[in-house]
Amino acid sequence: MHISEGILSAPVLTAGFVGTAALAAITLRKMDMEEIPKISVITAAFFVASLIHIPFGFTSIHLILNGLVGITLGIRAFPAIMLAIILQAILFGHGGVTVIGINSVMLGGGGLVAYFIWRLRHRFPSTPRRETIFGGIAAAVSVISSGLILALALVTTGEEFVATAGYALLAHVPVMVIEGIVVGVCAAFLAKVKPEILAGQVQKTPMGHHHAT
Amino acid sequence: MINPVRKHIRLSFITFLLLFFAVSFLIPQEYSYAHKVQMFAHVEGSKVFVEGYFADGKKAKNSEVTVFDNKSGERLLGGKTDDMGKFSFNIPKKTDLRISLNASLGHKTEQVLPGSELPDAGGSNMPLRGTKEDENPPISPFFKGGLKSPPLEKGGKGGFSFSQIEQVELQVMIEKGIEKGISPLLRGFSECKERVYYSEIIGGIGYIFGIMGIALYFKARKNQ
Repeated sequence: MHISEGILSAPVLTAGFVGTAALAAITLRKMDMEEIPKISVITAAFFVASLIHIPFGFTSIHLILNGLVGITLGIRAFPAIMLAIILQAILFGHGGVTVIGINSVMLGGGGLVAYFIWRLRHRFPSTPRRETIFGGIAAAVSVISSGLILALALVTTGEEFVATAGYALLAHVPVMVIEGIVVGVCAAFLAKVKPEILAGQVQKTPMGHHHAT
Repeated sequence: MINPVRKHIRLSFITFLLLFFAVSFLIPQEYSYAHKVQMFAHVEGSKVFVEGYFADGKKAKNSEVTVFDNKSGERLLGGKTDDMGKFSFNIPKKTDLRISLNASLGHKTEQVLPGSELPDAGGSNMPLRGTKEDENPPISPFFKGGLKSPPLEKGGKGGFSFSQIEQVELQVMIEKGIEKGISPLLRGFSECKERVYYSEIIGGIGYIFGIMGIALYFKARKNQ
């Protein structure tokens, strides 16, 4: 779900870059050294995921997985997604260089939304299904948030894009469902096998011991 | 306390597993390129033929084609591609034509056909083939000079000598022959350019880990 060059107006593109710079500045603050390898691994997975096209009906879809990035990296999802988008734009011409800003806001913003939903799970009792449900909801809402940002970018560009914006939102619905299921399953699996990959799943005590919450 | 060395080994192991998973996932997906839309527009006689297709070779059906005057920005005509991803139109006027093909949701491509490659409405120049790449030399430059011919579609062959007509027809035949021969090559060429190669995917992953290395290096220096 990248938006291509040559569609959006200059003010919208500029707003995208400004938004990206602001979000990157906020989300990169106080990064720990131990976080960096994990961020890189997830960035690589996200980078590859949007290059894999799965035949689906008459068309082919690819997973976005910005929700998965959100629930694993927390607020660091934004710089991770931004880096992957920059590389995809430079190496493969996905979208293009002028739309790096708006694409980062669109997908990275979705990732942040996923994290904020994921955090709410602590308010509910820990059941075997909790991670699946919250992972799925977080990913689904993340996709639809990206769709809304895309629709907003199109609508603010011009009246003639209102219909396109509607279609864009509609096209996100099947992706939302598929991503919700995939990320829900992933979240459950990771919570069991490697809980420290999920954001806030394992809390460190001052002694460095892990204990599950 | 977790031994930092063990932790490091464990992290590299996870990295390796994830990479292995990503790469093995890619292999059965032989045709996993970007779905970037491509356009191939060329002039034939008094018409412009446009063909839209995605980088994976699928035709861009039902895609919106809009033609603009590149100098004034004025919209000249528009339409939709058929089931074969093709669209053709009569040249509205001799100017730089900007053809835009909008496949769907942000998959859009544009191409400019320079006015010099279009057949002159006044009939002083034979149509020269327009190709996707501006840097491609016109295919039959040696016909350009000297040859005066009427626009073929106006049908007015009368008033010209026999040899002139022969020359004109010969040129059209040659152009058609050349086009038949090279159009698959041209298409293959632009498809090739758009393909996402494994080496580039692996390269991208490499960049990510390279950036990780640089970040860790500077963090580590700061901590010392």
